[in-house]
Amino acid sequence: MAGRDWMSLGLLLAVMVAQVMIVNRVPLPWQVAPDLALLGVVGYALVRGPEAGTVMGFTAGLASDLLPPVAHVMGQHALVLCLLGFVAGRVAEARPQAGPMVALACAAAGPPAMVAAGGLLGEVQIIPETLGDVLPTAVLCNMVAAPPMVWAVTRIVRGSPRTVSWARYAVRSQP
Amino acid sequence: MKDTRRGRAILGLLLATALVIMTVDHRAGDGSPLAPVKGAGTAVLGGVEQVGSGIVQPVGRFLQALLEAPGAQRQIEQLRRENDRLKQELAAQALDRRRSQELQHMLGAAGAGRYKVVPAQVIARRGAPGFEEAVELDVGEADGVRPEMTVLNGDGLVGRVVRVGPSTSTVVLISDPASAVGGRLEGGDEIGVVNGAGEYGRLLRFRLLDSTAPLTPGHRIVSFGSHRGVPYVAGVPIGVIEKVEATPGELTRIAYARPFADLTALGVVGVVVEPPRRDPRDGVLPVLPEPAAGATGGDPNGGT
Repeated sequence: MAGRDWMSLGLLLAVMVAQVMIVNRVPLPWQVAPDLALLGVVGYALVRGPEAGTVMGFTAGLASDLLPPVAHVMGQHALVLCLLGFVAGRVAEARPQAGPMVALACAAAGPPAMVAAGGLLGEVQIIPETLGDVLPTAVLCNMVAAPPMVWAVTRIVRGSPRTVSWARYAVRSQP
Repeated sequence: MKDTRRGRAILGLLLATALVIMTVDHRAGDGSPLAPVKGAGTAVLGGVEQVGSGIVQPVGRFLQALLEAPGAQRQIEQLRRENDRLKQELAAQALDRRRSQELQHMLGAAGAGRYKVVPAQVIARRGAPGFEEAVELDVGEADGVRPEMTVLNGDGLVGRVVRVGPSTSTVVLISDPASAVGGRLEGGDEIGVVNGAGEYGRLLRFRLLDSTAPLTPGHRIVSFGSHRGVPYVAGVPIGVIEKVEATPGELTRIAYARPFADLTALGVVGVVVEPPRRDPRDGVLPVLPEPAAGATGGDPNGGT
């Protein structure tokens, strides 16, 4: 991992702490908050490709599993974020123009995937009310927050335009 | 293509690792080999959250003030009116004090819960309302908090402690769908189970075990209490029944209750470090307003 990757991980950790301390406690209507860690991992994977996305998703997910307060099984977020990181990176690699659509799709897929991962071990009691009310609002909230968050993350991960062009040049010059 | 294969290998490896961790953690429960890792995570990150809360709280308060500004004016009016009314009542109460003293003597221990409580502040909250409801408190092992202790606030039951760090602790709220609290109907011995209903913490689901027992909106629920007060002590107010579901032919009855404690906006709470020596029964429930007073008289059919 290069210095930039460690910096990204540190930033992601800061985002997660900010999530549980600030975002989740702001009294938004409908009591939902976007999952910023998920959006961060997706943005990172869009820029760095599937391999780095998978590793970052797993690492960030494990950190999220350790971040108090937790009431779920350890490894649950790691599983979901690792998978989403791979998918986002893979699709973005195959179709570089589809970046925004991939980000939106991943943001929408996040909450159902979390619930499904919890349901794997029977930890989450899935009841019709939650599926009917909470899940759609959570998905919608994530999708609304996705464009600005993913845009910001891709800007940070890519660095300044000068670095990007230099990196491209370095990649091209390799045999 | 080489890159894709490597990417897939990494994905497979990490997915398998995550699944192994989940399975080990789920199967082993409290004696899990991952407990030290979790403990370290709680200690380090909980510490970070505690330090950060000092910085963040003014910001949060400012945001809250902005968001709640439209309702605040109305609330001030309302509070002023209520204040006037209470002042009048206070004057009237001075006259009743002698009678009240005698009554108190007669009721004995029922006057209050006699819990020993450590006050705490909520410093972080986990998202996914309806699926996972947990908050972090700024008290921990050093303050005498241990896992499986009851958490309450001035209005009623909040939840129970599940994990304790050196100076922070994690609390699962009673609105978490996976949490189950034994509840007892006020003024009787009818018992049931209280779960979260996934309505953003505004409603709880109460399953009454005896389907023939009377159950109407307005009935209040207190905690039934477990052996030695672990994890829930007895007699803490939980909520008021709001609607009863018609379930003819079933063995249990389902009702929805509004919790006494506002679980969506928690601030200061208390952790019960020492349960009361005897069950306070209904003694901790707030005094009912005049018109509904007849319902408490031990005759639940009186209203119908």
